[in-house]
This record gives sequence, C-alpha cells and structure tokens, in this order.
Amino acid sequence: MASAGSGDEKAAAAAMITLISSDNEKFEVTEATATLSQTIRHMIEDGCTDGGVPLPNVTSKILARVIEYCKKHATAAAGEEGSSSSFSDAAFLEVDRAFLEELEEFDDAFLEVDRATLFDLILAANYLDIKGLLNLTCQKVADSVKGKTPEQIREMYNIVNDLTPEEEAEIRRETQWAFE
Amino acid sequence: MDVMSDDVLGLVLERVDSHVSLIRAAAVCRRWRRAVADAGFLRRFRSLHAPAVAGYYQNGATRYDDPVFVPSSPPQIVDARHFSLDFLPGGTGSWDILDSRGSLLLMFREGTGGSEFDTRFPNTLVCNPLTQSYMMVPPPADFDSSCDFLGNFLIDGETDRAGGCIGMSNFRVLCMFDRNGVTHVAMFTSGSSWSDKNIDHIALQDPDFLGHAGGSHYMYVDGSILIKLDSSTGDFTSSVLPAIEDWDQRYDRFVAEGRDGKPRIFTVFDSTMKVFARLDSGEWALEKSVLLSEATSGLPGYEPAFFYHGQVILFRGSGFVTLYPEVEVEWQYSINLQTMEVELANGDKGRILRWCELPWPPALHACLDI
Repeated sequence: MASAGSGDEKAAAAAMITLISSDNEKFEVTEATATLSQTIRHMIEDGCTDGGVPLPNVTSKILARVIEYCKKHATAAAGEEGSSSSFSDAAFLEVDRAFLEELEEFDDAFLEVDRATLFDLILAANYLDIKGLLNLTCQKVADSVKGKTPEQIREMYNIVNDLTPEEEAEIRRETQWAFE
Repeated sequence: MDVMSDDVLGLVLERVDSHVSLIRAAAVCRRWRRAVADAGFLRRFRSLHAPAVAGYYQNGATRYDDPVFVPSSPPQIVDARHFSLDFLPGGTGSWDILDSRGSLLLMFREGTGGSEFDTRFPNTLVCNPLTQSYMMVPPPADFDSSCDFLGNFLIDGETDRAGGCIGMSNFRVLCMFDRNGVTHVAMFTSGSSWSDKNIDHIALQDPDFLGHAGGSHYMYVDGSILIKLDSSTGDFTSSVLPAIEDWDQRYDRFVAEGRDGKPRIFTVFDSTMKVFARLDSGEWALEKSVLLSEATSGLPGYEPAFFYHGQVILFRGSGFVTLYPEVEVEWQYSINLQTMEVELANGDKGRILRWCELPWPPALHACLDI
C-alpha cells in the first residue's frame, strides 16, 4: 500500500504542466513548480489544465521570472520535507541552514529589478496567488517607503498628488511629530 | 502604482515596518490615505507590528525637578522635543509621572500646601505628550475627608475598531483608597465618570506597592500574599508567595522586570539578596540568592563595614537593581538580576522608568471624505 502511494506521488511530481503567457509563449514546468501557485493548483485539482494553462494577465518576460522563482522554491520545499521526515541530526540541520542562506541570497538577487518589473511581479504573484513571492515583492516596496517624505514617495512611484496645499497642511497638523 | 488594486496596495502598506513611515505614507495621496485610515487595515497593521516605543520618561531627582524624556536609541523614532511636557497646566515642574501606558502618562501634583504625607486625592491628569492634550481626573465621587488615598493606576480602555486599546478617548484610571481600614477601588473611564469596582474576592488590606513589570503592577498584603493588577484589564489576582522567605518581615521587597521581560520579586535582608521568579505553573520560586557583602568585596572602595548595617535600594531598572550601604550613600553598586554579577553604578539612575509608545491608532481624520 505504502509503495503504491509513493509511486503515485512520484508520478505526480514528474507530471508536466504547460503555462501560456499573454503573448502566447509556452512554458513547460513540473507540477511541483506550478503548484506553488494556488491558482494553478486549483486548476489542476479541477482537471482543467489539459492543453495548457492560459495566463492572459502575465507577459512572457514576467512569467519567465515567476517560474525561475517557483523552481528554486519548489526545490527548497522538497528538500525541507525530506529532511524533517527522515533526519534530525546536527549535520543535517547544518545543511538545511546553508540551503536557507542560499535561498535568501537567491531572493535578494531576484529582487534586483527595476520598479516597473517589481510591480509586474507583484501583480503576477497576486493573480497566481503565490504567497512567498507576493510577500517578498510587497516587502521590497514597503521597505523602499521607510524613512521617506510623502513627496519622495510620490517621485519614486510617479504618484499624482491630488491633495491641495491646504489639505496637506491640515494632514500634517494632525500628526506634526511624524513629519519633523 | 496606479495599476495596483486596493488589495495589493494594502499588502504593501501593511508591511511598512514603521509607524512614522505609515503616517507619512498616509499623506501621499487620497487613495493611500483612505487605505491607511481604514479601521480594518489599522487593526491588521496593529496585529502585525509591535507597538513603537519612542523612549522613556524619568521623574526628576526631587519633586521640584522636571521629568526628563530619553528617546529610544538607536534609531530615534521621533524628535525628543515633541515629548516636552511644557503644555501641562502650571508648567512641567510641579507634575510627577505616576504611571504610563501606551502613549499616555498618568501624572499627579500635590495639592497646594500639601505635605509628602498628604492623604487627600492628589491633582491628577492623563496626558498625551505628542498631541499635547490632557484631561484632569477628578476624585472618585465618594472620596471624602474620611478617605486615605493609596494609589492611582492607568488602565487600558475599550479596544477601538483600529485595534487601539488606550488613547485620550479610551483610557481608564483605577484608584485605590482606604476608608476606615477598608480598601476601596474605583474606576474612572474617559468620557464618563467614576464607578465602584467590586474587589470582594481579593484580600487587599493595607497594600504595599512593590512596583510594575511586564504590564502589571504588584502589591504585597500581609500573610505572604502577592496581588497583581493587570494594566490591560484592571483586574486583580492574588497568589501566595513561597514560605522559604519570611515575607511579612521583609520591608525591602520589590518587583523589577528581568531582562526577559518577566517580573522578579527581590528582597534584601541582612545583606542577602534573594530573587524570586514566576514558574510556568504560576507559582513563585527562589531563583537566585547572593550574599552582597561577598559579591561586592572585589569592587573598588569596598569596606566590610558597609555591610554592618542595611542596604538601601536606589533604583530598579530592566534586569538590574542599584543599591548603596546605609552608611555610605556615595558607594553605589548595581546587581544584574540574571547573573547576580555586581559592578559599581555610574551616573544618576535614581528613578523608575516610564515607557512611552507612539499613539495608536494614529490621528488620521483630515481629507478622507472624498
């Protein structure tokens, strides 16, 4: 019984899914990689992935980056599962730590993109419901706001100021201490 | 940024790891302002981020000195000048800090012509230094000339929709006073008035105030009874202290906060200092014991004669206590409550610290209508 079960899992892990970007480019990925996206996971569960999964909101440029992220993190997830079930000694924890460090380095490097790409990645992560990627990219934007004045934030993200000078003054008066 | 849905904007803003940055983000444009000012967003933000500690206040060395604000370091979150108490009626000098909670201070001032041992209800106010607002707290309705004032404590109010549990519009003050040898407790609610609090279930006669730690105030009642007043609920609970110490005979017994943020009770008697910690089971147990005359013998200036008489407790800080021998005020030493290591004390850390957080929720009222 047990061997039959694991055989099924192996078959599932090896199954390939085709993702189709908005500009009609096709990407072959393993199911383990694709199911980091909750959206795709649900489609697979519903059995509607035959003939590929069209993603009309995601360009090939962004989809390639998203897949790069998912591949790396799917491997990480598989590694973690293996380690926690069969090993617990210090040597293995050491390997785990090294792997987590590598993953962090990967994430840092992954975020070295221009703002437009970063926003596209957020939108894609949100649409595909990839929690880790959404967290990573939103945190990057949140960190960039820290210590900035409202004017600096507007410049950074091309946000139109729809507040009149009088309204701005009123807003500042409410919490003067936060602006000086 | 315009391409982002409100949901995604919320995901970004809830990850801004600074109260001040969040308030500034709320001044970027109308859309961002609405997103931040939303009660649901603020509640969520509050649950994700610890309150921002701006620094602490210390009362002056004498009652005529001003309380001093010391910003948290580093980084200093808000310029220290915004924590000035100049706005208080009659100036800063006459007021002392009795308690702090969230962004609020509970302050008191002796009545004019009153002595140190005044048993009347002192002039009392609650203030928010950052918004320079204050509210006088009148005496409880049934506090008359037959009553002796025991103490006032600042207690959280109702949690508001933005997850704020204390502010100028939602705070409470708990007052303990004695009438004919019986302790009474009354609770003042902001925007309302005093009401009596039933304490029949708790022995609260002649309480000795031990100090505060980990969000609670502690009192001692004869018979080895420790009373805890929870500053978030205003409720009292009692426990029995371990019999290995003769508590009724220990006049130098106090509560201090350990480095782990948990409370410690310590006693000093016959130059022995004992530290008690609360076990997970809720019981108190002896954690450390040290002979001060021995532990300090290696310090410069040590003389055995310092320990022929008692030791005076000067200051209770986070994780340490400063003492000096009754016979030599200048020879002050600090003891680490965790390691029991001693060192000569430096500087004039003579007072209890009152932590001060940034207000929650932040004031975001303007320009939300359109």
